[in-house]
This record gives sequence, structure tokens and C-alpha cells, in this order.
Amino acid sequence: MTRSDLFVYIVLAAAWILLALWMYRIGKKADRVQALMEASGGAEESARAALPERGKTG
Amino acid sequence: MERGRPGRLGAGTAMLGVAVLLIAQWMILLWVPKEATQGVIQRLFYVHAPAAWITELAFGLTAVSSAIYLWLRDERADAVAVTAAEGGMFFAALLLLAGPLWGKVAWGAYWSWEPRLTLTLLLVLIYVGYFLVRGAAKSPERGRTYAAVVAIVGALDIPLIHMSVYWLRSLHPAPVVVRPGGPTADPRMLVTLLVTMAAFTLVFLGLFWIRYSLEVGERTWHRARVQAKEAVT
Repeated sequence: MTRSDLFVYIVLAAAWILLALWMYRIGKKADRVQALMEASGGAEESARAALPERGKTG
Repeated sequence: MERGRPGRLGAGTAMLGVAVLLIAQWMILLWVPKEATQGVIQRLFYVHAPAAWITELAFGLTAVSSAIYLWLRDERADAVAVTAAEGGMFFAALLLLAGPLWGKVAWGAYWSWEPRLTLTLLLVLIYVGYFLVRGAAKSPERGRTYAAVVAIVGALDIPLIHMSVYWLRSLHPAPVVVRPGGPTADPRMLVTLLVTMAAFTLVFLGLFWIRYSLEVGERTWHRARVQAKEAVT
């Protein structure tokens, strides 16, 4: 294998690795968003639901 | 997380891009003829040029949406900007890897401080600054504003990069496709280049769309949380 062959393989491999890295980063963000939504669960919903009650009780 | 329509659209586009990229890889390694003067190393062209195209597309998109953000203060424009900038950095990394390796064989040196290479490095450093400024500002809103200004200033470098081979004394070869008088490359070389460009574009757009949807989802969640807290208190 010549140096030119090696460089071509390196760059092609790097293209896939960088692509995988970006996908991994996006996956981590998706996990974070999911965790946020699950952790807060119905926190916002219950907060909103509390509003009419507050209104009623003055 | 349940994947919505935008997520499916993005994933589908990215998967199509990956499939086309596999075909492109076969073309680069086995199908396209070896260039007469440079030999095997010229095959880097089919990765290097599309990586440059996506880098400029991504950073250009960042600049345009940053300008829209500064004008309208619409957070969706900022979400487009940061998403495009992030994608652009990955393709810029590929560009800055392929270029020096090709240069080592073609010119005998990994790097030369000639205009196009220097301006490209400057572009990437400006966009590294884009993320640093975003993170360093005291409030997220200020960070977005400062970063938007950096993005717009940085994008002024893009036409300079493209024209530097005409305007300045440059080691870097002039374009063989986007040039006055039309492409000069062999048809099979041209097809390979276009297929790789299509693959990179599809992958970029697909992943961009997924990442953008997540960014908007996250910001909407934060906004709803703040509003809910304010409403309760």
C-alpha cells in the first residue's frame, strides 16, 4: 500500500467517524431532551392545572 | 422520545444520504478513473470538495439565520444558526484533514500559509469563536446576540475563500467544476463528485433537521417551564 492509498483510506474512514460523532452528539441531545421531559413529568401540567384552582379560591 | 414527523423526515433523509455515501465510496475507490498526473491521491478531491461545499453551506446558513435572529429576535432562527454551525464544524474538520494529507503528496508539505488555506483556517477559527462566545456570555440571550454577530462577520470570509485563487497568488488549484466556461473534469470524475456532494448534502440536511427539531423542542420545554413557574408564583 502506498502513502497515497493510506491517505485516501484515512480520509474516507474519517468521514464515517465524523458522521458517527455528529450522530452520537445528536443522540445524546435526544436523550437529554427526553430525560428533561420525563423528569419534569407532569410538573408543568400540574402547575398549569393548579391555576384555575388558585383563581377559584382567590 | 417518541419521534415526530420532523424527526422521521430528518432520519429518512439522513439514511438516504448514508446509502448514497456508500455508493459514493464505492465510486471513489473502485469506479472513478485514476487521475493521470496526481494518481491515487487525487481521489481525496471527491471528499475534500464536498466537505468544503457543506462547510460553506452550513456557515453561510448560520450567518443568514443569525442575521434573521438579530432582526426579528426569533429563537427559531438562532436554533437554525447553532445547528448549522455545529454540523459545519464536523465537515470543516474533514476538510482540514483531507486538505493537508493531499497537500503532503501534491506539494510536499502538509500546510502552506497560502491565501485559500489560511482563509479557510480563519473561517473555522471564527466559528470556534462562535461557540466560545455563546458559552461565555453572562446570559443566554447575550450569548446568542454576540454569536450572531461573530457568525455574520465570519461569513464575510466565504466569498474571499472562493475568490482567493483568482485574486491572489495561490498554490491551491482553481475550481474545476464551478468556473467560468463550465466544468473541465472527466465525466466519470464529475459524476463521482456530484454523487458525493449529493450524499453529503442529504446527510447534512437530515441530521440538521433532527438536531434542529431537538433544539426547538428543548427550548419550548424550557419556555413552558418558566411560564408555568411564573404562573404558579
